[in-house]
Amino acid sequence: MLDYSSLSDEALVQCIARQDQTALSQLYDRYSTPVYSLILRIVQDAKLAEEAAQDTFIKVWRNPERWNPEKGRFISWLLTVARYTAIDLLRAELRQVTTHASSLDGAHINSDVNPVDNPTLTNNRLLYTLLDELPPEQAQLVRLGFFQGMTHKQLAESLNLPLGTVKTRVRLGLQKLRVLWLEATRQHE
Amino acid sequence: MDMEQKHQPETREDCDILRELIPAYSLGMTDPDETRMVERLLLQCPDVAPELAEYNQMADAVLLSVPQVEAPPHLRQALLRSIRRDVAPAPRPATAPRWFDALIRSFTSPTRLFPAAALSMMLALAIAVYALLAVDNFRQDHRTLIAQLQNRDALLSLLGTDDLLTFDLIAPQAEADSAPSGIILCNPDQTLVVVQVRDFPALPAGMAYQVWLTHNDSRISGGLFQVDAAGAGTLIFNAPEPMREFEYLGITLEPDAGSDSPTSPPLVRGQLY
Repeated sequence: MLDYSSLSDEALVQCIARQDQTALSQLYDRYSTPVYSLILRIVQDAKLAEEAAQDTFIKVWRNPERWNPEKGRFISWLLTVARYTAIDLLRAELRQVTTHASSLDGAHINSDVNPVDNPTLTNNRLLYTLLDELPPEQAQLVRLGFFQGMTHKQLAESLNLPLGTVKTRVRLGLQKLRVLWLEATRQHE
Repeated sequence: MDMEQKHQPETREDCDILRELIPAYSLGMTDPDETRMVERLLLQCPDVAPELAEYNQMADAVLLSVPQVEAPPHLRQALLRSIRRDVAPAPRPATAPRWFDALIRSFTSPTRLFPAAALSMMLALAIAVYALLAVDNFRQDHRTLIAQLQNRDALLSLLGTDDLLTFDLIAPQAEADSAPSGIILCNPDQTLVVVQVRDFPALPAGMAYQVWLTHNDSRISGGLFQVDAAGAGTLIFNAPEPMREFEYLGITLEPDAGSDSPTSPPLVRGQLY
């Protein structure tokens, strides 16, 4: 009997390409929390998050060949799929989401969750808090851009700001975030 | 510098422009024209690649950094139920063996009459084909297999007749070699029909190809079928009346539960008699 828990992500995806449902279950068990967490952060609604999370794993099931191991880790690709699935769903629902993390009543928040074989998840959690160290006008644009998929022009139109101002704030904000992140990462090594 | 102004490009300035856009590009925040510019300039400024890789790493870290919330337990079962529906076997075999394909191709003679001497070989081949299909369909449900065995007897009867006819299925606006096509195999006095297609487009999820017979402007469904990765598929069905009663046969793309009448133009069509 194959021990799916010992298989790499790449091996599991190869099994999924052969319609192996157990392999998909294993990937779900491995990554459902980061996928659901990211989606919930974007859509800010538990029901929508469930729908988008399910859609994300169904996309993996139907098109496993879309992940190219040479281009990056599976978790990176999976979360990118989750991000755009959530953003598409959000736009379809035409919801207005604030830039602040609104209350998630009823959601079980487990700060100790640490999925198998992904210690980087714990280390990277600090990046989220580093966003708070940016100037508010820069943090606002970065959060809107990343968690709502807004581009420079969309941010300028939505916030009634000059396009040049948006580009400058985004660039400076991300450059500063990168410096903070690199410093924090080195401290944790 | 105004990025909209296009002058004679100077590599150093272009690389500076690229560096300014890299952070936003890594998070998917650039507008489409900026994205195209970045991807073009990356080829001219290979030195910027390591910086992009670092920002991409940071983008991945942002994805992983949100507060972790466990997915509700029922989501797992809901997902597994969805994918079980995805792998449910199709009602018809999606492929026929290659030598069945050759067998059908051998029926494309325009004169359509077969020497009696060749019939016994054809019958033997047909029996072997159906045996192979039966093995191939081993995992399908019992009712489907029974229906196919009944079709086997009817197919043998069809192949044993002198008046076996073939008709071409042609795409309405056929272009080069990759246009969908197929053939129809039938006897005008019988109801059994064999349809084989090739180069059909892959089916979207939840869709199937549906065969229609035309009789006095009304469309009668012959059944649904799937195609394999190469675009090949076979359908064997019984028409409601002997085939001499029908003028055309066409195939359309429909929902996999089937339609009462065609909802899309035919991919291929064949004139009968």
